[in-house]
Amino acid sequence: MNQKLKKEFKKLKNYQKLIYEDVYLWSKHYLEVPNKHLNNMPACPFAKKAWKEDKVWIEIRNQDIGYRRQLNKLLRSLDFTKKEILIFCDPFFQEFSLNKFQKEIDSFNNKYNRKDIYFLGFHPKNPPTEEDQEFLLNPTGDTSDLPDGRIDFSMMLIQKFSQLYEASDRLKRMGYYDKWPQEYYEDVVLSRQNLYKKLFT
Amino acid sequence: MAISRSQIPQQISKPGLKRKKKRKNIESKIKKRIQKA
Repeated sequence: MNQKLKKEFKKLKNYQKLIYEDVYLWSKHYLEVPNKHLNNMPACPFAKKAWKEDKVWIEIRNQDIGYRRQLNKLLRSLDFTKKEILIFCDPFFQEFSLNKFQKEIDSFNNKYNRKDIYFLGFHPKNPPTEEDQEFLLNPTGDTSDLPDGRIDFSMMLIQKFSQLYEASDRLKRMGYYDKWPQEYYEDVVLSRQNLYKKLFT
Repeated sequence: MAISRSQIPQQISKPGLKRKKKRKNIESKIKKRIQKA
């Protein structure tokens, strides 16, 4: 964690610190490590650089404010020249069933995709399965040093759609997705790439 | 409790697109996964 992040971290409440750490550890141990299921490429080849360059913005839901209202407010101050990704974490996720949360993701995407913003959602009730997504569960083949989570929360990852499309397109041409489970690839990558082409090309 | 995470599958129906595909129901998908396991 760089100095600026450490300074921000000190100001957080305890449950906020747990969330912050959890996101950071998830990135370190699952997204950034060479993944044995992906020809030793990391599950997210851009994560390490984004943290290093202080391009990750984490915000935590305030229960006194509605989910949409808070996120819309954050989006108004989101500047992709300063931060490449906003991670909006909600420890009060129980308000949303999986289907309800999926509708929220859809609603934000419908509203903002044309403004070049894309939303990816993660919910505790949608964990990866060994059968379908082992690369997300056990990236190195050694589970002994994987950290335990200490708090549950949903996440909305918000990125610049064009940047996401172009980076993903480069990875596709490199053969990066060849080792991804086909269904997961179609669900979360191919559909997004096709949508971008329909909207912008 | 592991902190591994899986992205929620893309919703398909988007306004402005010529063809609307069927909405994928995430909860029924999870149930199917559990049944398989």
